[in-house]
Amino acid sequence: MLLRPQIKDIKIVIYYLGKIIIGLGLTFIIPLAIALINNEINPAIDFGISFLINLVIGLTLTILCKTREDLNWMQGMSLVGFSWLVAMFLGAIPLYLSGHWESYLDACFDAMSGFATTGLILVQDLDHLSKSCNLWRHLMMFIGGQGIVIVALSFFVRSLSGAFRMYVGEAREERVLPNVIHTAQFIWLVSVIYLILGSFILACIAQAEGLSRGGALFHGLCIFMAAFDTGGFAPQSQNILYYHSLPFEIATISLMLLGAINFKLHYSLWTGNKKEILKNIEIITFLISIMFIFFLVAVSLNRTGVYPRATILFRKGFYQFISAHTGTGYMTIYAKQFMRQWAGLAFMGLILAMSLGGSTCSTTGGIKLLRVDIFFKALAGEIKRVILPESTVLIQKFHHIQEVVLEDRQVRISLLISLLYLGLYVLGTIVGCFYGYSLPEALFESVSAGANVGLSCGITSPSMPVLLKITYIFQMWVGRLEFVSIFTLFGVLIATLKGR
Amino acid sequence: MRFRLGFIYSVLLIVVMAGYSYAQPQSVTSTNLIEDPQRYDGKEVIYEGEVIGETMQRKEGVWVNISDGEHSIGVWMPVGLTEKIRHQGSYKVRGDIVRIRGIFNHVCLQHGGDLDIHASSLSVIQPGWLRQERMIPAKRNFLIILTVIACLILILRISIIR
Repeated sequence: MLLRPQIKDIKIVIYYLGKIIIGLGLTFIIPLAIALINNEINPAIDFGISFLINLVIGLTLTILCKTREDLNWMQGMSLVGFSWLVAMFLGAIPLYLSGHWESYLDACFDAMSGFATTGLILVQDLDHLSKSCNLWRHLMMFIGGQGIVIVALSFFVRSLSGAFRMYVGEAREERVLPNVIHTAQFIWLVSVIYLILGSFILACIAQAEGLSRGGALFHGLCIFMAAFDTGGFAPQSQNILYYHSLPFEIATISLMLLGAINFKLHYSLWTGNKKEILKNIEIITFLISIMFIFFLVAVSLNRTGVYPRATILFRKGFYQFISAHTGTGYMTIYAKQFMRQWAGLAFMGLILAMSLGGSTCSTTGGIKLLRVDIFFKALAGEIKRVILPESTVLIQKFHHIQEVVLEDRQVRISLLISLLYLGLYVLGTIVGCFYGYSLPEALFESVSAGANVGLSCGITSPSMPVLLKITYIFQMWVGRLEFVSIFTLFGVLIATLKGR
Repeated sequence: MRFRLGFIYSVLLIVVMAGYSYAQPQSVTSTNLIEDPQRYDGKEVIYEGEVIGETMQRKEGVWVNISDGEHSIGVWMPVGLTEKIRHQGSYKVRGDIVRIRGIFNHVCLQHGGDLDIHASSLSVIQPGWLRQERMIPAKRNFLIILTVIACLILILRISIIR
């Protein structure tokens, strides 16, 4: 029997939603300041409007639904799912007002793509977009990568248990520190330190490669935010190809790899536990996966003869491959070249890399490597059980920050989430095929959206069908939050309509 | 005899004309180059578009990214050619519309496999300009209304807290 949520439940969710909206609104101050510094009049007004809309909505909700009660699991989970949708609608306001997006739906698409660190874009005439609006695109990735709710957690939420429920809802099950608010603050601290260092290094490279000092700083900042958060937005329409620079490509590959690593592992490294990187099961799987899948990609590219030299094959092949595997979506080739030149195994290799993604508790999307590890461990365990005598008690362990005993529950959850991801990929592929795109094209774009990658083989454009845009938005949203909070939200909605 | 000579001259003329037209660089769009790169690979092409973003000077030349409205293509050129470029497209600037002539490389061996054009000549066919930004009154009025509403709600909130 479904129980209809009470008014009290809705009030608590709306109260915390109001706080999250205020937190999101405060982030508009950064692009607003950039607009004022660069004397961009209309963008400054756009960000002023966006800030005030957030403030008005957020304050109204917190006044109307004021409560001192803490969130329970149902409320926390549904709040997270709902707040990401609301953030998309509110984050899209300055984009739409800029006039560079054909419709509000297109602006919402790019906002969700930004927050979910995907990188698919529908923006038009990106090369003439204002600096402030361009910065906002990248800032959305930075905020979304750390978690929209973590913004609120860090500044507005004092209750520990409610905070943890929201934290888990954003697909971050692992606490770096015992206290979840300290964890959120640590994630911000690490991110900001990396932001300063990474932006500076990228700016130095960009300046050495011919950009002006101001331009280099701006590009460095934007590219860092999108690379470290495995997002894939870039300030210019050519993406990373704009720079025509090997050092820039090496730097962005390093950042993408850093972004694909579990935050708990970052913490271990920060606290001096450097051996962890050699023992961690996700890192080992990541290396094996990189070597195995890239071997397939390279062999296929070599057979097609697209790249006449091994060095060129490696530079182009490895960049797109790492971009796919880390879920970033940076490109040094044009979208149409994927379909025309990366035929067969190379194309399938990219799809496989995209679908797997990087580490858990990182900004990458997709199935995630820990789940792949657990699947293979469980498979090996079942085979051993058949081979070994029946009386043998088999205990399986793996090293992930600490020694972990593999339990049936972990296996069940990992397989369930992996299956759900496969279903999500199939959903987008079916809709793509329905609109007449070929199966490989539809599959590529669907996996890219569902695994929050952002590589495109050319389907994603302002002229694509509305239903396909909505499908990709749904995939990006669900893929980023890893199902549970979205299912809870739908469950609550159904219970509201049909419950007693 | 006269007929034979006439025939030979005609054939020669056709061959010369065909050769001339084959040797003439073809006018191309970025979509042509990206979707059918083998057709133009290693050939001289003419490409027109707006200079976008900053030009990037390297040791042996300059990178200029040129957009024809569909895509932007990286064009590698000697430093001397860029002296004609006065405006580089950005939010506040419409870049110069230029016509370049050069060799198209589907996979450039000199530049790590990039799809690019190595330009030998450049002409500005339409100079760029600085965009005058004007405030949109409707947006300004909306901002004022929102400011008033936000102030009222803030006052209400402060009074509730007290």
